Amino acid sequence: MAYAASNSTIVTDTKAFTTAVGSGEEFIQWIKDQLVEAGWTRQALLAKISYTAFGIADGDTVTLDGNVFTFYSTTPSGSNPVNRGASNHAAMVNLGAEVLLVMDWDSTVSGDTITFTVASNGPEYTGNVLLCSTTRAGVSGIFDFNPDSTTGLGRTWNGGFRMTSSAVHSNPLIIDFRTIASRTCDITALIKDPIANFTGIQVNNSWSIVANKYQFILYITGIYVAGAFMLASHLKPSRDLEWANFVTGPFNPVSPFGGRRDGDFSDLSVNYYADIATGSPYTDIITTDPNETVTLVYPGFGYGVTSLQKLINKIPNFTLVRDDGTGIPFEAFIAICPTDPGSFATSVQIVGQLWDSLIYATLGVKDNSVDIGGKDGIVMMTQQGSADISIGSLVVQIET
Amino acid sequence: MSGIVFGVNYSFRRIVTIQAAAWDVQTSINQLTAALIECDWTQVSTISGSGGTTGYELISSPTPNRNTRMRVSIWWNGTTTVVFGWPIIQIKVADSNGANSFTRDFLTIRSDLGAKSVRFVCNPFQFFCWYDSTLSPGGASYNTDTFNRSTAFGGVPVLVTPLSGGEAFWFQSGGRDFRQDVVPDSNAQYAFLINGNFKSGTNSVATTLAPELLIMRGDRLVNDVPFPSGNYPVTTPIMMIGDHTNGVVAISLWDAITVSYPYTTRVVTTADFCTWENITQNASIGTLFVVTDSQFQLTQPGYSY
Repeated sequence: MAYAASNSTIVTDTKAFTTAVGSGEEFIQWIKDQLVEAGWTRQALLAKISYTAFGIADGDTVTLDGNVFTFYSTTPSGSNPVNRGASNHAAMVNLGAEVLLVMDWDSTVSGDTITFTVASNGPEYTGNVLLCSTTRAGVSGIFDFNPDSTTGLGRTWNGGFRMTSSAVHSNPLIIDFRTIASRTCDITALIKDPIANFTGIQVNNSWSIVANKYQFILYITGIYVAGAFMLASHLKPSRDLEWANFVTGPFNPVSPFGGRRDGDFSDLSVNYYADIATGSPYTDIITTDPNETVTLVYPGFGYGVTSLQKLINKIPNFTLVRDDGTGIPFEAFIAICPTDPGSFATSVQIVGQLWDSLIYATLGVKDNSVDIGGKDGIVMMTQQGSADISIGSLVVQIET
Repeated sequence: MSGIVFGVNYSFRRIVTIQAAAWDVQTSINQLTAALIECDWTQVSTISGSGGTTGYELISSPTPNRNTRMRVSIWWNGTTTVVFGWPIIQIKVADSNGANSFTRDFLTIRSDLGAKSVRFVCNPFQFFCWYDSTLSPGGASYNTDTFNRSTAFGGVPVLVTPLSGGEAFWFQSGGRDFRQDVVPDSNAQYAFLINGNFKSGTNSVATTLAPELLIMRGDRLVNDVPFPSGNYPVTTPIMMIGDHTNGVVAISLWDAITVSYPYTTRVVTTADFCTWENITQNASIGTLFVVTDSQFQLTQPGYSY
């Protein structure tokens, strides 16, 4: 095998986000734009619209894209009616999922008319059943991102984009980016089947991205703690595999876990998703067993003198340099358990390579610029060596 | 990217593989010398040995572009094993001027075993000598005692420094050497010369790194890591030499690869129009393979690359 060059446009960008209402959607739009430029495909994900329920009655109307819809009944068979003044939550519960329609349309409210604007490339509306409400007295309907609130600004929520990577052979990496209901700026990166839900990305920061058509890395310069990092890759699979997908990132928007690079290479294993062709997709968190820990594989060496220490090298803190003093680049092979190590007795295997990346057996400085094959690169992760742990830096190419 | 590549550092030169006699001193010396000469080493002088034997000093062929050479001397100075009195042949390695030398009693001659022989593989820049019990009578395939000696590995390495004429060589023999593992133990004898730094002796000094090879392993794993197919990574040999004061550097070998899996038996295989054979057996980690035959053996020295 050789350097895993994506042979695609490498997209980089940096943008600051806040906690303001709408910043989560702005963040998702930004990710979408970068990944599309890098060669990913996008699909709009339907948003949800919640309204403060002032009551629904027969004859109430709503106009959708110039079409007027009239409510016939608020009482589906077998369910309880929704009374005036009932909360939106109660309405949803009582009326049931079959009445809830998810849409990704922009909307404006004027009087008791809600006007939806269908995106030119959005999905077509095919249903004619809505859950919403209007005030019969003509007062503007108020809808909110908080399903149970009666105040706020009207907008959609939980919408976003499904981003699909390019595929080497098959089974590209698919990630749904959505805003999180009830939180102004948080998002979720949802991996379909099984569900790996990376909800801990701390949007309120200045984020950077480096992406190619198979892989992206989201990071914050100078901040390495949990919630400040996400790596998602449709790996260049090992020759024996049809595909290998890997994502590491944080969950828990309030107290993030994972999605960090303040430790060493084992940070890749803190909270991750893996879908390897020879096994079933799974999510897992880091364990104490190094044989189950996502690991970068390269001819690094630690130091020590006992029989199990790497190479019985007695001298610590050596970096790998050639006779001319230059560092040796190694392919970024990554070893992952093909099946959930928590459920099966299994060890890591070299399932593929990170794209446009190399490992230098030297201790670099995170976020510093380095040369990678004559192109600009950045030190993304580092690892201090010890007796059984190889010294190293994961370097990612940022220049096409 | 230049220098050590991800592929094999093929010499594209003559490779000689023989079962060299190890049952008679002069026969052994003659066959080892003849093998080196056949792959473009040049005889420099003769050495008057013990018991009327004759030894030889040779110099390797200049490496491409850098023209680096080393000297090797093979002779018998009369040394015998303490018990049984079997002769032990000497090998001396040195730089192209004969300086920075190290001598090792490396090959025990056993006339009591019939036609004992050792595996000897050489090219214009390096040599490997080891014993294999599947090819010759003589006991276990690796040294388990201090008197049945049969290993010597050395050569001019693959370098990246564009320093024409710069001296460099490496050598290892004895103890748990490359015959048994890619990492020598504290009983191994070694010598190296790199960037003006010469070190030699027994691998028991904490601040000196005797020649050892790196293996693909997880960044915090001691064990090897396979591919899903069950195969293991094959890499360009990365040999580490040096010391704490002058620095440790990575050099490479000609016509060789390392496999990140510990083979315990003799393996002969073909790839890249070459025949490969493992030197390392009984390893705990990794195996060194060398080319024993190649379809790409040029008769003229020198090539552009």
